[in-house]
Amino acid sequence: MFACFTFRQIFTNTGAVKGVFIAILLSGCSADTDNGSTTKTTTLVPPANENITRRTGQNTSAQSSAEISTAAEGVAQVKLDNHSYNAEAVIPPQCYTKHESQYNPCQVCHQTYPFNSRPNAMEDGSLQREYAFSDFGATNRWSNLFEDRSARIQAISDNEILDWINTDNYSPLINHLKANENWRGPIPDLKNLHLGAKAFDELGFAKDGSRWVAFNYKPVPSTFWPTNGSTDDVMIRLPEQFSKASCSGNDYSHDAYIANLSLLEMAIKDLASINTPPIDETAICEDINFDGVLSTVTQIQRREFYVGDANDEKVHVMLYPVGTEFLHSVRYVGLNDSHQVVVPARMKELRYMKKQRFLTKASLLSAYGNEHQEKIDENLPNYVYREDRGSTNDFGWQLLGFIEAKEGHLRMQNREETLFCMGCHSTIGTTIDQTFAFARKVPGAKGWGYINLHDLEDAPTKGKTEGEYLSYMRDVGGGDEFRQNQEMREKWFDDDGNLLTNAVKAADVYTLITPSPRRALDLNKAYLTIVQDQDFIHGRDANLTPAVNVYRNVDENTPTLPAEKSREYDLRLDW
Amino acid sequence: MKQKALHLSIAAAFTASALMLVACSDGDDGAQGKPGESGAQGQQGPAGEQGAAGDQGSDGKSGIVLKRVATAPLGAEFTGMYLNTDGTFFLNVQHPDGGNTSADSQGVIFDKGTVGVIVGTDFNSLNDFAELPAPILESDKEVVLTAIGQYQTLTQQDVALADGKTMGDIITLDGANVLKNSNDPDFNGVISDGGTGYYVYTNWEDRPGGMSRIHVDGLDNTGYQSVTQEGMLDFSSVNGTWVNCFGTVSPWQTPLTSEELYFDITSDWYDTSNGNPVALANYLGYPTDGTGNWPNPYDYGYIVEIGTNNTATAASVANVEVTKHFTLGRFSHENSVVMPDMRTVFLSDDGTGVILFKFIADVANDLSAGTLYAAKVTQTAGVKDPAEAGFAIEWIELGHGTNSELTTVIRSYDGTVADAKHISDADINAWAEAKLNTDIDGDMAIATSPFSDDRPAFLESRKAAIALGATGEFRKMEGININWDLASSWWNNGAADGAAAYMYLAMSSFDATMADDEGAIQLDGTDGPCGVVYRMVLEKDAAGLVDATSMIPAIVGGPYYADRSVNECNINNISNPDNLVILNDGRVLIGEDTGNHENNMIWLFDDPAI
Repeated sequence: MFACFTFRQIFTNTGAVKGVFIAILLSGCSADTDNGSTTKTTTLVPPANENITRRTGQNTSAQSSAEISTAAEGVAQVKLDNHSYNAEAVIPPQCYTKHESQYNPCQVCHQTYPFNSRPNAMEDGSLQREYAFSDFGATNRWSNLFEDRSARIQAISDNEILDWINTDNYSPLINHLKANENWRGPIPDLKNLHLGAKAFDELGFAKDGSRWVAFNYKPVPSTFWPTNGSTDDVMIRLPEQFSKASCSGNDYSHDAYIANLSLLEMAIKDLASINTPPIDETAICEDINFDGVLSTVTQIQRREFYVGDANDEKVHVMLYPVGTEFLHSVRYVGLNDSHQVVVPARMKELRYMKKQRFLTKASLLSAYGNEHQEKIDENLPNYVYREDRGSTNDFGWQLLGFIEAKEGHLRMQNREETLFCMGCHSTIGTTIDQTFAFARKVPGAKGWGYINLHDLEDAPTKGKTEGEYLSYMRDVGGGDEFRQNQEMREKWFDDDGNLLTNAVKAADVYTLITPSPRRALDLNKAYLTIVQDQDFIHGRDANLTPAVNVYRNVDENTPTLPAEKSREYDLRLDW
Repeated sequence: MKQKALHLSIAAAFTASALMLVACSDGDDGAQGKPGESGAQGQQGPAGEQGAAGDQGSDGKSGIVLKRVATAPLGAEFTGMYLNTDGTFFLNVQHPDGGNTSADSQGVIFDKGTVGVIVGTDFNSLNDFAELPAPILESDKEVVLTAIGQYQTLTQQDVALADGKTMGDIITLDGANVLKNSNDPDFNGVISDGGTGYYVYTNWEDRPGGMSRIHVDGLDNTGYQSVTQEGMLDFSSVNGTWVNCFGTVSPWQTPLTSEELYFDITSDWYDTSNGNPVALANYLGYPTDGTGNWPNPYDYGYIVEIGTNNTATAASVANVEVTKHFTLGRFSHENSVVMPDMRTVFLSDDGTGVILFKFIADVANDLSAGTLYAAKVTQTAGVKDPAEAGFAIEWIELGHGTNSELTTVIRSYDGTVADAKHISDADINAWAEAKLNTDIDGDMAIATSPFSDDRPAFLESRKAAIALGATGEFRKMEGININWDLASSWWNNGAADGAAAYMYLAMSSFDATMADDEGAIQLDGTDGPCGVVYRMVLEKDAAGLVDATSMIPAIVGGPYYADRSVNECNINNISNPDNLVILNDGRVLIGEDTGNHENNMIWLFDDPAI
């Protein structure tokens, strides 16, 4: 099966939702499905000499206040209808791809690792080969994939969409949440996050003192490739004691925070040592490079405990400490004045995760066993939904999300929209402690800072020698899970469908996975039509033309993938 | 949405199994609510007027058929229902949602598996009480609520134990490593310590499985004042256990824990990508990649008696002895219940396409040798309504076995992944054909059994039973239970005509194999995902043993609302019944394990048919 394994579920409303709703941090689930044959995108758009970034930055105050009032209305109306459309919303659309017994995009999510070799014991590698869905899940309910949006895309002008994507909808959300005394959920406040890199210092530390830290990572193939519809960024925040060093009288210690983040990076990647930005050992009162003196160091080794005020917290391989938070904004595909792809102001989604409970590896092994038993019992997914607190998975994490309302403000995701998050962040084998991006961070000192795809190499995954994207595109037969991103096919494959290996090898990550300006604008327009429809329960993927390489139903006659096409894949990278 | 009548389907078989209305001779039977609006949260129909004051009045029954007694925290199922002799009611909270943050009145937060007990009321003399409404506020949804008494938490996952382990630990056979830590307390077996205290044995349902023992004493109105966190049992003598599920306590005061084995196809056992046998390999100290010895599939899937050789009350948990009863068959045991003849045992089988079993021990008080039977059922002709369709039972004899003989047989299947030793389907067919002297597989020949014994009956019980003609169509068969005092009173008084005692059997769902158009069971499965509880009248058979030859629906869950995201089964009725406990007055406590109620519930069911 390809199915992201599931549980049970629950959900609220679909329709023209004005309400506040909730969702999360997916790193692997969404995609575009233009089937290519019709859309030829050769014109390098943005219209004549237009300053396409004119709505970014500070020019948003008027729009913001309008959106605040809209948002206020929305937040006040949490719709709690218990109607369920897709009880298997945990199975993302990608799982219904036709692999035609040869293409294998499923490897990215579904992996079985040797017993007890890591805390993730989902062991779902067999799902690369078979569509092992529940009876309910055998029907693909992501009907947006099949919708022809071409006329609606045509009807939106380039200027309109540029206006839209360059308008900040994050700050109004935060302002609203702060003003809403009934809001019980987290407020993911990071001043100027809509401005992207400008919100952070060179090392990725938020300038507002919120202790959020941005890091640079290589996007997971291929849903989070801008060419398939979205840009994004990811921030991490550790509990306060990880950035305190009382021993030196520092209520906030940059040195302690960097040291702890670096220790965590080693833990998540299971590394023995790592280079770091300069850390003053006297500030944390620890000789963390074990050289016998307290000095400023830039290389540290694995150790048993974190440092500073978190020095009673044990480091666990491939597990985050309790209280760890992630913030992930999923955005439209922005374009700057040079027609380069950038992260624009407008967010499609804002996804938040927090580790609420620390489960040991032994407890996780039991929890994964329960998940397997749920499947044997033929139970549909079942997650508690707490509205503004989101949902909790069985592995210790709270997930909560905001998604764009029809009017453009971010609203809380509803129950079924939140359920969608749980597929990739609960029950697939590839994740490391339910997350994707941090394990794919550019290692060490260089990887602290806002995401920047330029000059990143196509690093192989751990244990491989060939570039990850190179082998992915070869295994998948295209640049997305559905082999329908025609631009990628034209760019990186010859007319016979063979991958242009040398060209791929010569390209950096930015060149490989960003779309042309024309395609970027069209993808944005396509997604905007979904926002207008507010039917995310039918799918969130920006497809330019109706999907053809996707099953509407699978059954026992649907072909399986031959064993030799199965792939071992490690989310981590070998830089 | 289609209108759907809310029918609390009491299968009031007022005709046949009539009626010792143990109580409540006047009050109306109420309960039939008027049709509820579909879609809304399922208003309970007016519960039926409470019977006018009632002339008898002393037995505390109200005339209301179904009352909500307790609700579980979000994400949890109720397990471990056990009625103790001191009138307390043990009840566990299995796998609650990790996001629960509300504390109960005792300050307990239910974000991990919890073992507890309802105290402050006497379940052995339960008076009438006001029903607990379904919780509305989140703070109520996240804790255990009770209509009567209060819930006392005795222990939780992660609690440090006197033996150096933590609650829920699954330790490798050599004692060296914590392989797992379970969030899933299940069966409680409560054994008197001979004084005022009790040993509480609790299953930790995992793969491999575990069992803990704590000691409680000093009960007063607020609970047990002394709680000693003793330790985890050592199952190394039986090569570990598998998914210790529900259970009962034998009449001779030993907990009978059930191994719920979900391995319908034994050859799958040798798939090294299957995490379950791999975990067992790790437990046993074998290579987990299949390059060495491999767990023997026939070591798992039985009833395990705890405290054999009078060790249930051993001072140290380390000295508690355990015995696997291969004689009671190998399947997905939910639980086994011993009858007052001390020889007959009824056994339920969880899963899909499963079977009801019966065992008759050769001698009383000893389960180590006996004969295993499986039910062949006949549904009421022409009736598909699950509230009306009963089943007649004919017991098919599968074979006779002893633990010692079967131990030798089982050891012959020790080996490696490459060996993949197991009893093949062909072998089972040949054994069955020889036994019946009939051509079963239609190859125009009657095969010769490859065995000199009845090993398929005990090691591949389901397949053997089906081959011999039993009905393998039940669906998610759960708790089976009697009230010991009522049943033994009936038995000891000669089981005379006119007297009756009842056993109840929960069927968590009656969809799929119980609602298809094939075989012996063909119910209308519309409300199948909500389940049904059957009543089985106990009989004295010609051999002078306890028997049961019918299953009559007692209460059916639902209606089922497929398009809901929560509470897909009406919240004023049972959903996915699982644990059952029968009170001394014959009323039935029904516990839920359901994804179709946002909060799982305990119900008190006052069967109108008895």
